[in-house]
Amino acid sequence: MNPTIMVVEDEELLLQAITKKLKLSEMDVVSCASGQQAVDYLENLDTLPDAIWLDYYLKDMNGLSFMELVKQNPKWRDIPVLVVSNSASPEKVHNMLALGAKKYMLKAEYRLDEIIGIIREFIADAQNSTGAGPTTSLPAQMSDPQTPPQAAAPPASDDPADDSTNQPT
Amino acid sequence: MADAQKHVLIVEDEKALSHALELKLTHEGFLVTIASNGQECLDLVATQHFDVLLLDLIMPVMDGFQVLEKLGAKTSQTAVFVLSNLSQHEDEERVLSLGARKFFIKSDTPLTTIVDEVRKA
Repeated sequence: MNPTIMVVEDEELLLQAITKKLKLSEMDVVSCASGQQAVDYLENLDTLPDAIWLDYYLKDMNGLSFMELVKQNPKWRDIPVLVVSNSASPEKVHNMLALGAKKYMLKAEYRLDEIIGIIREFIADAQNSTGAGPTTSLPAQMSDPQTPPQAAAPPASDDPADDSTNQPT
Repeated sequence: MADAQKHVLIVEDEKALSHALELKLTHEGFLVTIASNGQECLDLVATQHFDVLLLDLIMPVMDGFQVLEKLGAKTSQTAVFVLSNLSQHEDEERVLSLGARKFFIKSDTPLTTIVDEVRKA
């Protein structure tokens, strides 16, 4: 069975691009253009997503508010959350990781393929480790709240949606 | 209950969402069928009557705009509600001109509202 990824991204074109790429990567998607829509779906889905792809800035709430809602709910709090944002101040990264986000990534520094690969790793970790909380396998450089996110890869594009080498036709 | 006779076709390629909608509508007493793309929708509409069609726009194989174009006059017999993450006014105008009865932006429309609208259709 394909894993299901909830994508919370309020930029329509980017949401479409991410959704299409995930589907081509044999993942099922629940695409959400707002935080409230994602919460509504989480409350109503019969099977919870295997991971959440969260943009930090949403039109109706910020990533912190969304994370707080997710982590306060016992049914949702173990879902791995990957924050993908245009900006990453040390404070934002600290706060999101403290709330239990698995990783905080800058959009400009990763290609869609790389982010999808990281999601696959999170899902595999979750399936292989029983009882391990979502914050236990944080990469070392991201678990330090004073350390900004690492530039792990050279920018392929300012916007992953513009990555023509990765985009389906 | 009159609603129990209402047959709803969900046309949505996101399985988790179509299942969530199916559960809510079935719980309310509606008969529900799911199509995962536009072509499956047209195949079903060719052989069965549906009172309400919940139609996503961005789908593989055949998108919601093409479905509306091919449904043509059948939209007068079936209430077509478009549900989409597209929020451009031009998209709304286009689907309404193609015969959709209503256009719902998913991010602004809780699932309970969709169920309410199906009940009123």
